[in-house]
Amino acid sequence: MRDNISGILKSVQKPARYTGGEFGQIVKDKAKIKARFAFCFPDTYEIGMSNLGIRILYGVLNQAEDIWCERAYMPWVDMEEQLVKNKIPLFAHESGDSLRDFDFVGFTLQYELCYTNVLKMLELAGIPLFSAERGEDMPIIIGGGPCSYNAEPIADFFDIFSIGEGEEALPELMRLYISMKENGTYSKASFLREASHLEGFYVPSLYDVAYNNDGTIAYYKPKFDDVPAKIKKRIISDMDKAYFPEKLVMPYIETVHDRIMLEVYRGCIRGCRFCQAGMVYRPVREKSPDVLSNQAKVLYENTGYNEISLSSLSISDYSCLTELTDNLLSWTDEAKINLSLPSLRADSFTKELMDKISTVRTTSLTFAPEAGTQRLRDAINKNVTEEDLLNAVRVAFSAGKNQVKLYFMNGLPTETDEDIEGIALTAKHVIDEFYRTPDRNKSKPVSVTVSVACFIPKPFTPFQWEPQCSMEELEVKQKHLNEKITDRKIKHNYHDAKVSRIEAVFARGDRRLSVALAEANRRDMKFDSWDEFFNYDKWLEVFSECGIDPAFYANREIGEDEILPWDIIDCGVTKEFLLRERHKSRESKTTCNCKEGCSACGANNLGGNFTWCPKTKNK
Amino acid sequence: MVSENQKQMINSNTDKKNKRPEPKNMNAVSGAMPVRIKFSKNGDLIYISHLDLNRTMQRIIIRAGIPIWYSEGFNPQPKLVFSSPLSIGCASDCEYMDIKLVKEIDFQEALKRLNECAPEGLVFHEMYAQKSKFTEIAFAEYEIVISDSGDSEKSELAQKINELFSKPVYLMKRSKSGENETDICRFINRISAVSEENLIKISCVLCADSANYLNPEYIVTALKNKFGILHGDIIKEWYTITRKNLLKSDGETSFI
Ligand code: SF4
Repeated sequence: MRDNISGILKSVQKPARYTGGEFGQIVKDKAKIKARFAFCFPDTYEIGMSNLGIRILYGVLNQAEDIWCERAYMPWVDMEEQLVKNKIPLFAHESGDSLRDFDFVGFTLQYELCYTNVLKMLELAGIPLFSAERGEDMPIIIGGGPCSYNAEPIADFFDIFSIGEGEEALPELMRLYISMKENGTYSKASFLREASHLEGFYVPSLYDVAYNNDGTIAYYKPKFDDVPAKIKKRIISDMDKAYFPEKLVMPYIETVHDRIMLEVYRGCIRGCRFCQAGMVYRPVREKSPDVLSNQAKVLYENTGYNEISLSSLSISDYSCLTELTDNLLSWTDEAKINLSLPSLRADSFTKELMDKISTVRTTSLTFAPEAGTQRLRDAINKNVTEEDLLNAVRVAFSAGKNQVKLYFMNGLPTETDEDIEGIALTAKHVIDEFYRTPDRNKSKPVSVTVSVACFIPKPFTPFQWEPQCSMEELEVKQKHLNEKITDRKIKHNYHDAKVSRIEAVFARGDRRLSVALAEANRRDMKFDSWDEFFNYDKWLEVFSECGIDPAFYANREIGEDEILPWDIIDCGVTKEFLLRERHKSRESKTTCNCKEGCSACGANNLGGNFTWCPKTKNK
Repeated sequence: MVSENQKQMINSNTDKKNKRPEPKNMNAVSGAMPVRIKFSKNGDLIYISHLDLNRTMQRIIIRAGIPIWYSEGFNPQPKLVFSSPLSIGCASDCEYMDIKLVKEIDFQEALKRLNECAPEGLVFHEMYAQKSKFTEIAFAEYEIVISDSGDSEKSELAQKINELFSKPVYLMKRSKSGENETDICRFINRISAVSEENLIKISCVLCADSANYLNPEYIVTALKNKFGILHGDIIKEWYTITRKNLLKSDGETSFI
């Protein structure tokens, strides 16, 4: 049990980050528990509590009477200092027990820049970082989430990764653990070996990796015959029947997404060529509107939240959106619940949709054209035209909105100066459209925010082979755009190219990067996704200390016949498809979305109900 | 936005409006019935701010299905008004919250539901029609318990504490006009300390109206400064503050 830390809690900012005790948290009798799981989010409580995946997996694991899943988050620096000073190991919120006392410590890996936090959390719990250094008395460290599709840079720290959707896989893994413990066959090694036979689990220590002289990969080989050569991603076939958490842990302090997040479907029909989520979550599997409306109602009654956000990658692609919103509005209006729809596509933004979400307070709307010219938008397969965008903003303007946010990317493959200038031009056209809209809101000035991210080549995308522009190039591009934006009504902000470069290194990294991460941990680096902590020069020092060339990972064009670190994972989408897409992008040829026609990406082999895929289509 | 249901309620209750004076702070809605809820706040809940408490309460009330009146406007919110603020780190046995109902309900049943929907540490004790205004609150009574690992004889320390507050005690105190050297005894109605085993227990009554409010942390600060206690091990040395009661201007009668 936790010591009396009231003195500590009184001395740190936002103590409610660490107390636990929220309504809806699950506390069990330790004596009846056969497997304890600490679900860790390697960032602050406010971000972690907003994660939909944790909400689901916390509920699904705790369904079993003999499993107890608790939560832990990365302590803010003031709390870290107190923990270290008072020799209190990092603890889980429900029991206050140290993470070391758990059977499993699980990390959800949402972005590459959280890796230093993962190591810091292990360190604070007194758990050795490298799996090879951890004995039988140490918990099994398991990872999951989007970064596990290329987990190689952190492979040496983890015992096992859950690949794909975890709500069926994780309980299976727990059952295996409990049964091996009960029948006396358990040792960490034998358990991991058995676990590698379960679908969707990757045990990195069971593979030998060799490199060529030029630094590329020579081979990945299973150490034993019974260990699979490729790990197939797990998916939930029927989303209507998938586990759904009817109760949530209710934070006291405000979190990032302090609302009901209704997951409408998984996957994305679009296939933008830079987007990892759009590829690795395939195939699309939808929930039916009745199920969703009922689930929302149950959640409303159990949480008291007065906002429901329909969350999915591109919500307007949902085939029953009208039915769903009508269904929801039939009771949410009276209950004074706000409906919000994030991530709208410009080509599906209609007056009707606008009216339904008009209850939302915000006066600003966000669209993501991603590129400034039609040629480049075609090359990245963002099938949106400038006309779509102007239609959408016209609807928004005539409904009284006067702020538009536009997301773009710099440094996309084949980008030219013309494309960069196109960003400024597009923004200008949006302003013009405002003045052309007769029923616009004349009382307030129009403003357009152009937010430009840097392209990062991500595994399992058609652009996975592409080099990232060098930092200097990216900075020149940013400057060029800045010069082209002359209208004061257009605000321009851009992502730090340095952050994007480090992200690119780890996104396409291999196992040799673990040394750099351990060195970063030794230098007390953490919270890399926070501007106030990210330090590019420190990263360069770490890489040079470890003899690592960041350009090898970030700025190199990878050969199409090279073995990739993530080839070990089968995420459904085939390499042939990704290559086809890459080649089409060179010719600025688009690919239709899954609704319009199948482009044979391979994800249909994973199965799934309510998909658009030809073989499994059952609509 | 007022629903049909609420409108009906409001119309049928218009006669009550004349009998019951509208409490301050509550936007007038004719007929919605003002009720007061007494609750206590202990355990981990002492670490949440007033804003967090407000949000937490709104959600508890919705979960419990209490027919609460919502504020009007673009973004309607369940309307809650709290009695005098409690600083972070303080527990309380007697907090009050005023809400309005748009439908008559059984108070006992509502209390039961509220308690079922509340996190550990938050307990709802009473629910009744408002009889007074929060402006009638003049004082708050606190119990401060101190565990100090220092060598000093605890009974002697208690004696010294009693002597300390019999004379002016100057501290930097924050007020609307900024931070000033202030005699905090001006805000102390009464205070007494006793020793019990290894603990010091202080009972005090402090000003708690909106113009004169003394945060009980100042008492602890005074002791830290004068006697050098609570400076050692943050785990072994601790103190708790609990608000025990809210009092009217005579310093004796309990506010309800
Ligand atoms: S198999 Fe065809 S329909 Fe299914 S996800 Fe792939 S491209 Fe889309």
